[in-house]
Amino acid sequence: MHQLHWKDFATRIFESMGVTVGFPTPILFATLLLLLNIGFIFPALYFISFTERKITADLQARVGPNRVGLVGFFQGIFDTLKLFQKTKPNFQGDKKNRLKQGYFLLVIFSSVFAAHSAVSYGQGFQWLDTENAIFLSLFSLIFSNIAVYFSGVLSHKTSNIVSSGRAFAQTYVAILPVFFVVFSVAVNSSGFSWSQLYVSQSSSLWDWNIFSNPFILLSMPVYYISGLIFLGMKPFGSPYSQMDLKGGLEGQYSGNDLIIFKLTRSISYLTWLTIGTWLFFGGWSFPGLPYDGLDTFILYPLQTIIILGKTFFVALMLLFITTALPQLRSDQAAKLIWKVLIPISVLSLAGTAIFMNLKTMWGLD
Amino acid sequence: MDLEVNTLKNKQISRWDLDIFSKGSQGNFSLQLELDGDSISAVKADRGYLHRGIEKCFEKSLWFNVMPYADRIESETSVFNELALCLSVERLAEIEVPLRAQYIRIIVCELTRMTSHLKCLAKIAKACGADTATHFLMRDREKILDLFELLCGARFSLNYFRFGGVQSDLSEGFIERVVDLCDSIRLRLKEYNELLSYNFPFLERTAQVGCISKENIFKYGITGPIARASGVLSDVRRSRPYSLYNRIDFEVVHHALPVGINGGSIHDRFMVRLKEIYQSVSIISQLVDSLPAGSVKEVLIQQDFCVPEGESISLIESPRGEFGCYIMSDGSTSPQRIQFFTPSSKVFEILPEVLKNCTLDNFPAVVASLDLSLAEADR
Repeated sequence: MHQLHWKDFATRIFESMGVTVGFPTPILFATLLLLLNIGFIFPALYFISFTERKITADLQARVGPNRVGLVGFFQGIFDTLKLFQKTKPNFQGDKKNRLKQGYFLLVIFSSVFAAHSAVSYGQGFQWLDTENAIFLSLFSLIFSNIAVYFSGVLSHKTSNIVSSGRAFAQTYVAILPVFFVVFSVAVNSSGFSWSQLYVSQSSSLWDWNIFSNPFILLSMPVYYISGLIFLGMKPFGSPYSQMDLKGGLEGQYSGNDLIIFKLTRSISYLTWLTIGTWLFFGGWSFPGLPYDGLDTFILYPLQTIIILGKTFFVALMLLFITTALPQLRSDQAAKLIWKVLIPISVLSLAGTAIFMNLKTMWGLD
Repeated sequence: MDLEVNTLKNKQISRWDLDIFSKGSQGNFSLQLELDGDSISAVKADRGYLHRGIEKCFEKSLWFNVMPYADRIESETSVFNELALCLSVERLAEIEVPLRAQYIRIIVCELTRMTSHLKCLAKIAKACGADTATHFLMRDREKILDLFELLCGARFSLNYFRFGGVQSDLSEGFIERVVDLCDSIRLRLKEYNELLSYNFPFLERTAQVGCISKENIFKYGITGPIARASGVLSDVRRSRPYSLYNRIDFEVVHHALPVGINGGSIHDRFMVRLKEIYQSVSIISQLVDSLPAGSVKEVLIQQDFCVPEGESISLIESPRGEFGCYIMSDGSTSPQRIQFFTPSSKVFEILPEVLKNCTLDNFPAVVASLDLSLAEADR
């Protein structure tokens, strides 16, 4: 039987996704991905994390990080270094299960990293500009939650099993309205790809999806609330946050595992928010900015900064809203999804389709 | 031990042992939960981990130095322990307490009541995941603890009351700071009400959850805010006034619900405690406005202090409910017997009943709302 060389296999995969491949493109791909992450994504993540800690502390009448650096700016780095030094406790489970737990963590991390790579952070960092790029991101986030479930089960602790089961259940309930919202936006923008989303929103501020269609405006909170539930963020983070049972998912990790787990959740959150920026806020479009005259070496990083800036703004708004709220139970979150968010998202999809048809009939498109 | 191995093999979680060292532990007691899926079908609770033999320690000490032992029964509400003991001894020994000392005692007791309620509200908020409200509540509690530090040097276990009065007069600036605190707490209570009381997610987590019926209140002899939240009007300060409570104008906060609505939920207990903080502020304001001058102690208790032969009992309203102290003296310098009746002992007995049919998610919030103190239950 003819066996494909791994290079040919990889080439066929890329070509099927519409990416033309020739050596050394994969090496270039990997290098640029690394530069993107080191240069923009991890600093952005760190800045979001620091700001979140400081603002949450201020809202709660606390000081927040204040030990390392000016206003405690470098405390996150030293907290991470401290975690690296911590030795792992002896688990009651055997070594084989511990290794499996570690493997699942790597699966979680890899799949989230893949999701994050499929998102466009500007023309210089756009690996996939196809109709299924957005779905690749969403499916990768789903796989990461599957791995979270198995990782929890393997710990053989009641609280972790229960928490991971809840996290799993929350994920699969919450993804449905997200897909409806994505379809609504695609109907509005006439496509799923990043470039199509940009083209449909680039003319002016009022062409951004959130302003151009009232049903997209309606579906925006659905997307973000579903995202918070899907990812288990506050105020839907009860399986992760240990508040309910004092033994949630985050409690089972320590040291290096905890770093990977927390980093994965942070990247998932950033990926999610960035997709939201593309869906509703025009991607890298910024009204009044003269893109045409700019050099590529200025334009591409500028686009990345604009996308990350919008994402950061949305993250801040979500932080202000969610910090003061109590946590909802998983069944309450599921009830919210089935009874409120899914109907609204379906209505939004239908409404968007009707709205677009009416626009065409009246010659307003 | 957290989980029996057979649960995974049977693919069904049937029993969960929460001992005092496990992650899900809610305090210094152990629980064995029988689970039916996500809901608790049966509970077996064991206590005694904090038994320190304090009542025996009383018998080994002198009347002169029993007060620190009374303090340690429950460190956070120590003044109530002290007050109950003082009232029993003063009744038996016919010691008259100066008026100024009585005023000071009630002011300190009501401040302590506020700290206890604030801590319970913070525990409920934390169990429901409301971190912001938790920090706000604890912040205000810290201000009251700072006042205690100004008064007698300690934040907990004040060791401030004495037979026949209090240890020393109020520190300079204490009354002014109490007045400022009362003003700020009034504003804060409005803030907590707006932030949390009728907040939709909080209501979802607490309304109609962990209900205790009136019948169970009477069956188990529960008193205090838990009873009042279930609609039982019970307050020793009103039914059997002690100290100055017959002269003070205050309202007994209770919760009367329409027929057909399950009372005594977590939310009801939360609201009763919130309103009681307001009542405590009102009581303190009245006392501060009319604080008389004079001495704070007329009898000097020394090592050879004897309590006449006989028995005495006192009953007061502590933050958790009716708190009693029984003393028996043989006329010597040592107590023959001192026994305390604590509200947490009865609340511990109702714990299995309340947790039955509760879901695992609601379990920490229910336990937090009961404000169990194993220190006073076990002694």
